[in-house]
Amino acid sequence: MTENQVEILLVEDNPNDVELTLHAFKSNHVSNFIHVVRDGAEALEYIFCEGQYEERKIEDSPRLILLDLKLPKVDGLEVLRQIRSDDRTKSIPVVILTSSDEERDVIESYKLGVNSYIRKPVDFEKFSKVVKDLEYYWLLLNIGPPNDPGR
Amino acid sequence: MKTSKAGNKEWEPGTMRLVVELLMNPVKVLKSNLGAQFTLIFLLLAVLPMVGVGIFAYSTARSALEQEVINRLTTITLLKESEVNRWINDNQDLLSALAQRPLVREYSAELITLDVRTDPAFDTLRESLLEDHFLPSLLGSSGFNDLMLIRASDGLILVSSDKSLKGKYRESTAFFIQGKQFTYVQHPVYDLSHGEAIMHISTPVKDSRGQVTAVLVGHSNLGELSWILAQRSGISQTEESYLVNISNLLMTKSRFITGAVLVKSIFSEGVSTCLTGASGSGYYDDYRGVAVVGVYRWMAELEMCIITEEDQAEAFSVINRMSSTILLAVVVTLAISLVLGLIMTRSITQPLSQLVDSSLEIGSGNLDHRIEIKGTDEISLLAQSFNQMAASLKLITASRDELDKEVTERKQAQEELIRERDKAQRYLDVAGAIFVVIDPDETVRLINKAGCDMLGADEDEIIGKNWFDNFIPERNRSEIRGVYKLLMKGDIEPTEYYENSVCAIDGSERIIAWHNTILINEEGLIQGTLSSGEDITKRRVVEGELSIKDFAFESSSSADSIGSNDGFLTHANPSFAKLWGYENVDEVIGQPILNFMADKSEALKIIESITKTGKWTGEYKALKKDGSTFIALSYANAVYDADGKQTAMYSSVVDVTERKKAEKALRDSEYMLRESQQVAKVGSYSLDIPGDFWLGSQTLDDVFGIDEKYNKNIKGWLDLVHPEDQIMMGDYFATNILKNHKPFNKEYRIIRENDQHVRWVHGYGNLELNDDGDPIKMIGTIQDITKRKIAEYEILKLNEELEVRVLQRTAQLNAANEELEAFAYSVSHDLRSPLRAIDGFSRIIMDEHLSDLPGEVQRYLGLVRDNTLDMDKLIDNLLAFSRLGRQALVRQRVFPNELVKLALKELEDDLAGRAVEKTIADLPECQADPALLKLVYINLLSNALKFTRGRDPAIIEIGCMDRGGEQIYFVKDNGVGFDMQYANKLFGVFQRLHRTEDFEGTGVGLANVQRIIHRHGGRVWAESEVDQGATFYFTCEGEIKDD
Repeated sequence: MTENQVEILLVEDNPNDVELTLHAFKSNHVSNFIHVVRDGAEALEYIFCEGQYEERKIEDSPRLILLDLKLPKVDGLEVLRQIRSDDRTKSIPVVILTSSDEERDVIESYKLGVNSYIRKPVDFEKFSKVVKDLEYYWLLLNIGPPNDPGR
Repeated sequence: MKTSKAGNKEWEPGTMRLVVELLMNPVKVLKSNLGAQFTLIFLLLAVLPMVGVGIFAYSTARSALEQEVINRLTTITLLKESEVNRWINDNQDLLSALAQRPLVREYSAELITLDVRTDPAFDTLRESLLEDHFLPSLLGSSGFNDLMLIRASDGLILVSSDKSLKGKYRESTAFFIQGKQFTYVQHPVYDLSHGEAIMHISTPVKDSRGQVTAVLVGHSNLGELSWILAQRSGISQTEESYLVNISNLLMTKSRFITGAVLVKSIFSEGVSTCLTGASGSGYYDDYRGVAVVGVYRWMAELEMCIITEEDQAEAFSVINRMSSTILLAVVVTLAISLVLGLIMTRSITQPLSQLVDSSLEIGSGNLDHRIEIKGTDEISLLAQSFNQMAASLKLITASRDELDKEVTERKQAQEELIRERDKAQRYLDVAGAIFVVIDPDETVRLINKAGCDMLGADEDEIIGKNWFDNFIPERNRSEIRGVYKLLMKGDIEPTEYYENSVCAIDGSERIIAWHNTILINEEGLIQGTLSSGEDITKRRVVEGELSIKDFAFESSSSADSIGSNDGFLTHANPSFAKLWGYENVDEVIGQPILNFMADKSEALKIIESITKTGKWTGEYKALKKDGSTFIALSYANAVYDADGKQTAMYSSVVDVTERKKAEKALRDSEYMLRESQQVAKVGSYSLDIPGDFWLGSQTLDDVFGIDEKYNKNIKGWLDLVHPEDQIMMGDYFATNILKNHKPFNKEYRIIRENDQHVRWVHGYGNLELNDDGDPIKMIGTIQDITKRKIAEYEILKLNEELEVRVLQRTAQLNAANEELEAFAYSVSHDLRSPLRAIDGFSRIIMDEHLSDLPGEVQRYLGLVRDNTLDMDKLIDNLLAFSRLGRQALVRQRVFPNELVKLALKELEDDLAGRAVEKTIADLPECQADPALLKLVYINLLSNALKFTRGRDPAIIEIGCMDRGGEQIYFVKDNGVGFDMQYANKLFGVFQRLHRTEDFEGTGVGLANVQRIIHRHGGRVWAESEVDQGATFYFTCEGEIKDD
């Protein structure tokens, strides 16, 4: 793990949700590096090191991607599809974190190989707990694939 | 004191009781007790002057003291005010002097020409100004803490004894702007950077040409002012002086509160008054809440109040001690005068009260009581007179008693007399006979009630009238009067029995049988007659007519009979016996009337009708002796006596059996046919085919609109057929009838001859063939069916329109539903994000800044979060509701009992700790979506549990009933129920019939139930009464529809 490796990539367009999520992370004191992108297109650029992120190395992939579904430009399901269809990125754990719990969204996400689907609770205490559990599970307890680059 | 104690004991218990009563009910005791009145006067005489003097002394002393305190405080205030002013003046002078020092002016003029940053000469100049002029001044007797020199052109601080200010700008401060023009004293302000009250004095520094080069500013933190004000006169312990600015802020140090300078706001009466610009004094609560005497003065130049206060407790301690002394004196005097008053009054009132007791004794009737006389004073004389009075009273009373007795006896005798008289009158009235007493002068002197009734007049109208002129018919008058005159003369003896007519007031006549008696007085003189009479009018009439009637009855050819009220035949004539098949009259008399009628219940009705209305005419089925029946036409009526009372029933009967038969035969035939043809517009015909002519009924002519002159042959019929149908009908007749010999059965149009209206008819006919098999005759009917045709057409048209409309509506409905669901879906999602933000940030504030928040704000934040979460629940429910509409319906055989069991399991949390009596019937199976039907039960049961919350026990009945093959499932509870007038709102989304504080919920549950039931094609409804529980019914089978 390099010094500046991003541990979590948060793809979220709503500034309030960004702030709340970061706040929840901050109070858990687990991960140091969270990068926030604000739409689907930027998320793809970040993950595939294109455009403004072309200096990044694709091996330094985030350890967890938190993905909203309703996103400007490119929607969350499309982002997920692209991550899963590229050999270099398909093993990154992706968790959908969204307001919608429509059955069709859930089914579609799992079809595309999402690791987890979580509806953001409105109750902030529950929300904080969800974020905390996410972090503990995916960053501390979960064992990633053995030949994961950059690990 | 010893004697007084002994005295106390001697008064027991009378005096003590008096005192107690006086306390319990002072007014009553004072009004009735002389002793208490005396005592009260004593008390008032002793205490009133004492109190008066005390109050006067107290108020005089107090006002003197108040004046003295205020004078002292005013002096102190004035002194301090002048010291404050002098302090400011001194500082002003000091600053002006410094600004006018030639060296200061010269340095200043030079400093402003130098570049602050680069020129090394600047620092040198500044240092020397500071060292040589500013610091020595500060060390001297000045009240300044710091001095600074500000460049006039731009407000840059050139030199400052406070190093931290070096290089800063003060171009927009009041002391800089004002100080450029004159020596300016700035009102004290709160300095945020130093956290203390400060005051600035500034003055211009001019160069040799008189141009202002800089502003010299002195800065003071008011420490010295506080010190001046803190100096006390030493006379009083609580005295305090302080300054308050126009923002009600304390400007100098408080003796009582540390760190209050420019922090403590003061709104005492003194400060508030003073800040209006007034000066004066007053009594009020100071900033500590302690009552003080205060003197305040408005310092206009500084825009501040100077206030000196002293606690009232200390200032008026002397006078308070004095008032307690006075109060003590009053109490002691009160006690002494009470004792003296009681002793004095007792000696006066004791004999008086003895006198009162005795007079009460005499008053209550004991006239033998005498008062014991002691001494010879006025009271003893009074007692003596009392005794004399009692003695004479006794004498008078004895004679009055005798008088009373006599009066009572007389009254009794009189009452006896009246009773006797009333009794006689009653006998006279009760007797059925008429009694009349006539005077010799022919006037009526007395008549009883029966007499009055007979004459139809009141007693007053009869008595005193001439009997013969008024009450005897004219034709008999002279004869009867003659007899009476002879009677009066005593010429003839009265006849025992005498009949004559009497004329009533209304002119009617009655025949009366009289018995006369001559009235003779004690002296043997004739005083008139007493006649008793009996009304025999009826008897006479009946007697006269009876024989004629008998004859008519016996010989009548109709069967006549008379029955008694209790239903037995009493009379019958020979015709009656014959008609009913009996040998003779004797055989029928005495039998119940019902024996002669076939239908007993009808018979009872007839009898009832006679009794009620007086008569009955009609037919009934009569029962003969041999059991056969006939139709009897009867004229019956009730028989009454003179009083209108029914005495019997009379009936005259004719046998109408034969006539009936004839009538019936007639009706059965042609009559009925004609009627029915007309009603149904069916005409009948008979067509002679070889002869080519038809005969038709009148109705057929009406249907065709023709008359008897019409050409009634086959061509004539075809002419009537509508031109468009003529070819077809011609073919039909030729082929179907004439050739194939089939029956005629066809609907076709005609044009009615008389009014040329197009009519639809239905022709029907059967052929008669001859032996050779050729048709010779067709008999049939033709019916006008126009109305039916029109109706059929209308229905057809309506059906078509309806179908088009249904299609349109369905399309609209589907479109609206889709839109609605898209809307609900998107709204639910977009609403969640802001909610999460509201809840999240509220929570962060509460977690991380709780200690900064006042309790109220914490509560409000809590409410914000509660509401946010409520809204979240609402959205969840809305989404679930919208989903129900989209979910596919999977119908299968379900057993509702299993679903109820599952539903109750899900509701375990709601059931926990509740006393609920559940009755679950055997529920018949049905075709439904099990998941959705379970949801129906969950919603209904959770509702039932919710609204029975206050019931112990809650009773919930789950059942089903069969209504004409339809299964109606229901859930019934004994909860609070609802008002049926809101039943239509019950199943609407977000409709609630109860307040959220009483019963929580979002108002979606029942909407879901309705949606599910409607999707199953079932119905759902509820019945309830407020506080009487509610029952929800539903059916789940029917035509499936998607709503």
